[in-house]
Amino acid sequence: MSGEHVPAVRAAGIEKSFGTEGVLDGIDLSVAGNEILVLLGPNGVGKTVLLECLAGSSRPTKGDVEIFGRDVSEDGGRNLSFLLQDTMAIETLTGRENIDFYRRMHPGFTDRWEQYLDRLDLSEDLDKAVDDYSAGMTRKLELALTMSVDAPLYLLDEPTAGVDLSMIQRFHDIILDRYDGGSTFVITSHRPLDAELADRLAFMRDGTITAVGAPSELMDAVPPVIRVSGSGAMRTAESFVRGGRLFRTGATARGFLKPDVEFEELEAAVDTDVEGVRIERDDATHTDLFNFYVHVVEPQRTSGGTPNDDSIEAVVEP
Amino acid sequence: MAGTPGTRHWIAQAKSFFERYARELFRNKTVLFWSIAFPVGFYLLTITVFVPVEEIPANERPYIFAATAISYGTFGAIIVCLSSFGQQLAADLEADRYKQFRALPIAPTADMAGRMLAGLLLATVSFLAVVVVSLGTGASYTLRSIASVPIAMLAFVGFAVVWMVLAMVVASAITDERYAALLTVAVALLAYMLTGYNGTDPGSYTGPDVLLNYLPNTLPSRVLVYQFVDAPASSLAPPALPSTIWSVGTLTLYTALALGVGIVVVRTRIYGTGVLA
Repeated sequence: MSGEHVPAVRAAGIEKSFGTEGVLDGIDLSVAGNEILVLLGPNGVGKTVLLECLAGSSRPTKGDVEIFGRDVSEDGGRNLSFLLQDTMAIETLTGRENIDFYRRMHPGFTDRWEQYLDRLDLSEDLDKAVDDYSAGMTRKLELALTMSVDAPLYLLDEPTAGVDLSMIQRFHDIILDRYDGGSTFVITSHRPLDAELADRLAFMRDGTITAVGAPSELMDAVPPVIRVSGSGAMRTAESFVRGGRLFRTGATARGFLKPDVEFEELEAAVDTDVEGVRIERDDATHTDLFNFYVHVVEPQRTSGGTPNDDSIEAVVEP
Repeated sequence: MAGTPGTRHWIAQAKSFFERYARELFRNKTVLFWSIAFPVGFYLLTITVFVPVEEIPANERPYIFAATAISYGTFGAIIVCLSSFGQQLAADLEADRYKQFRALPIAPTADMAGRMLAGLLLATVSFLAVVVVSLGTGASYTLRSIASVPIAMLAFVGFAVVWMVLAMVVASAITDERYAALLTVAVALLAYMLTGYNGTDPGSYTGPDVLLNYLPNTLPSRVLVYQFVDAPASSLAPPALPSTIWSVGTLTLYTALALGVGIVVVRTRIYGTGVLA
């Protein structure tokens, strides 16, 4: 097999159970070299467990994981760098002691942590105990530790969780630096903003992947989005949107029109003369994308193809 | 530095683990209290309250105090090796730290070596703290021979390794820091009390005498007393202390067996690799 056709990550039929509780249900996923796959989904759907299986730190109950064509257990962590949220940084040590500890754990560890911590404004806090760090500071340290390893594959578990919005772009820039260097990324997140990084997005719900594809393709497949204000109008609109579900954002709510419904039908059904009632079409945002593929698309076993696949693999409810 | 890249990497990792665990142990005030202050305090309480000092002939007090100090010193070492060491491992397992470590190219034995060296360092400090305090109370120590130092070191290391491996087995089976702490403290106290204060006071031991020369906690303690306390041999009998060669051989065997079990546990239960990985 020629090297260029070997995916960076190949997971086949991954199932994971803890006792009688199934967490992953037959996941197939393939990630090409120098690709960023962002795995989106709410908390508790199995994103972290899937990432642990890909990293070799947790053994699947069923299925196989290969890293660059080798079983992940044979690789032994040599070709990857794994960030496991809230577990990597050792809270009883200072930031500097954490660096001192991890730099000897991987032969590929470099001094890049210095520039990363400068960029993330954490250099001044390195002599504080991690126990005294905020969640955002801990994420900065974890990202710097992980990205300081020279690895062809990075597996990042919720790298931006708890990070200020103003700092997220700097996190993304650091990730893109290594991406430009040819590395591959699998990143889990429940923040739609992280979708901006992706070559491909995968959405998870209830231990399965509901959709995989390029962001633009997935966005194109999102049904027309409506925005509604006013409680009475919202109740009316529920019968016109997919899954009968609206997603509230403050005083307004958003939803996805059913396939057989025209916007004008909905507009006619709502009394827009009442004060505070508005109904309008809107462009789909990353949050809409998240809500559609995570909360509206029915979970069903799907396979995560390579970025060369033209089709978006998603199962949309009737 | 000499050695293959693999060896250098192993040494660097073991050093890293040692530094991390030593920092954690020596910074934890609760650990320091139970590991150092508690055995020292217990020793002082014993010689001032529980032992009828006025009934002991003045010429016997120095070695009785010394034997008592070694007994409490080894008790402190048990607390370190079983409880403090075990809780530290259980806390790592409970925090899923090993999920992170398993994704790194870490040699499990480097982790075990660093962890054990840190535990051994604190156990030594705990033991010596009681011994040093005992000197101020009139305890007297005498080297039986020049070989006493290496023999005592082997006895202490073997003693510590056995307890630390037991702690690894308990922590890897329970993985809950609080339950592991309860169980290990209970085991430490029971082992100490039920074996005549680690075999240093055979008169208070009610089991078969011969076991005091076999149990992995009593034999090292008795060897330490024999090598450092100028007491009549009858004070450690019955049973009579076995020969030095037999003691050293048995202690070496215990240490090797314990290390073997530890390697299997750290590779299979903690890192989830094969026995020979």
